[in-house]
Amino acid sequence: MRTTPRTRAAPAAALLLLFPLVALLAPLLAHGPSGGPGGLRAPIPWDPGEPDLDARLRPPGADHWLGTDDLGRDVLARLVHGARVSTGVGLLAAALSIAVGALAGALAGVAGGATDRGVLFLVEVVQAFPPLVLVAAGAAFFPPAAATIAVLVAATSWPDSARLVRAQARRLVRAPFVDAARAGGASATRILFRHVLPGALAPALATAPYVLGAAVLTEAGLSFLGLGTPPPAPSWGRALADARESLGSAWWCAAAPAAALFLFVLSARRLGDALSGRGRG
Amino acid sequence: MTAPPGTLLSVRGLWKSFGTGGGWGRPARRVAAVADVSFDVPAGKTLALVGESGSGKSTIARLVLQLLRPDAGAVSFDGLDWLGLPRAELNRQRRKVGVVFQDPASSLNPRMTVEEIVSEPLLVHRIGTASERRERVVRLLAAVGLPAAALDKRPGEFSGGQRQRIGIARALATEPRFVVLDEPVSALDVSVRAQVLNLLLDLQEGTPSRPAYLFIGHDLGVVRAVAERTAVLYLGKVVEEGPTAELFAAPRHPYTALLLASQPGRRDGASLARRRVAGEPASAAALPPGCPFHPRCPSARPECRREEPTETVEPSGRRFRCFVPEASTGNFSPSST
Repeated sequence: MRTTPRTRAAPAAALLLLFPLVALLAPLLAHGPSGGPGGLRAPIPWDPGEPDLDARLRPPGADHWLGTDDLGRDVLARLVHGARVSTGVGLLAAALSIAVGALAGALAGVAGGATDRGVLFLVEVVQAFPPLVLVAAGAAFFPPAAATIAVLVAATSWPDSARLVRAQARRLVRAPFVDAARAGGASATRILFRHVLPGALAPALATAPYVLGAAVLTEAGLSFLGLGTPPPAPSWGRALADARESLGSAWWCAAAPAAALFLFVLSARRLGDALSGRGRG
Repeated sequence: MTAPPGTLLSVRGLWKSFGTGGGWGRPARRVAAVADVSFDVPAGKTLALVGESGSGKSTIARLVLQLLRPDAGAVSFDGLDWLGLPRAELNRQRRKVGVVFQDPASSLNPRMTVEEIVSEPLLVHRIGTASERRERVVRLLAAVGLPAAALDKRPGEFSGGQRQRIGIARALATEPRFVVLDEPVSALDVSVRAQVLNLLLDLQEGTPSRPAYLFIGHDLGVVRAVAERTAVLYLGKVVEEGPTAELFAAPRHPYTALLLASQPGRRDGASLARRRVAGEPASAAALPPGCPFHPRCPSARPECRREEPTETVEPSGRRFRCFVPEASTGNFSPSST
């Protein structure tokens, strides 16, 4: 069967879409008897933050489908609410990264000269540092919050889309329709936003899933190290850190967030591969 | 050389060279694409620039439109020093100028609708309200023979000829007094060339602003049909210029004669046989000394290899650069135009 980017992207996109969907519906899906909106009974009747010291480290069963953690909190409820942290950080980082990268790349490609060299220099400086070092250093300086992590990930990942958009913009700015617009009196701003950016954006958008995946992993990594999203947000990364102590006896505490992370990042990268035409089958 | 009265665009001593082959320790060579070019375009009339590819005709178009800065020379448009204008004022003045490029596929933004494309100059120059602009676009489309249903389509849905009509509508949107036509029919199917040419001629007559055209082409048959005056370019220089009918009837420069004789389908075989000249045009990157045309010239003399001919201006207003101009055939009278 002949595969098109669309057919290859479909399964990954469907799986990836599950995460923001769960994140959005988390307050409905999992809440305690009192905490739910509209007094509805939740399918997962546990509050993600409510400790129950009588029910610590229960294995998966009828009450707690994925068991409980070392404070007796429902692992599934925390997993569902943790999707809000990961999706939020991931989407914000991807949006920021592409907005900054596309703007810088298009500006460099259209303006050329000193602007172009300046942007390229910045791109090379940022890419010369290991991103985790930059992010971890930044996380130590700025107040820990999901938005901080998103900004830091965006600050290290924008060069990729900047390079891609710059290459497209350099090609587009020489197109006769840009000459026609210039000869007609169109301003540089108009040429940038009306004639170059829309046509140069596609390859940058195809990197969005990669940035999303990287941001989700980075957030988990920083939270694992204690530099990430602060409590009481139920971050998957901190759940993994908390699960280390009881890994031998209560494997479910680590397995659930690890599997969620794995599926999130895998589907994001698969979608990225499909969109940019890499990887087949 | 002063511009005669009624001149809209006046170009004097225009030079533009490009650097090639530099880098890694080798010095860059400068190649003159346009060398000391002068011409006038009278208001409401058409001047054609003809020449082989590489003769600098499109570079001249880009210089006149200020898409490129010349190295030297003067361009005056509508009495203004066109090269000395500040950027913002230049962009305002550009309302008076339109352009149609050769390739209709790449000269229209594929992501914009026809309405967006044709109304962009109106939007840029803040002409009319949104509904007035829309009305004007519909009128412009009708004038170039496209239905109003085209408004919301994108260029990809049209044929080459139709796309060029969209480009013409855009060029005329601000009722310019001057339009640069850079090989406007060269990329079109032969069957639609005549239609588009006739459209351009009708629009020149029928538009209230009566735009002057700078028509750039290499097809002499086309040029003969549209232009009052013709300038012949060879390797960046105007080698001959004059009223089209006189220039075609009795070329002064041997290169013009060669171009005329090598037109396909031309019936005077004797002239073709006599004029068949071996050789490619010399490259602008390696200009021969003396007259740039002497290696291909059938009537070259020793002085042509040493010295470059200066411009001769005849009382009738014809001018050429040649030591050994073709003889006047005498079978035309200068008043027959």
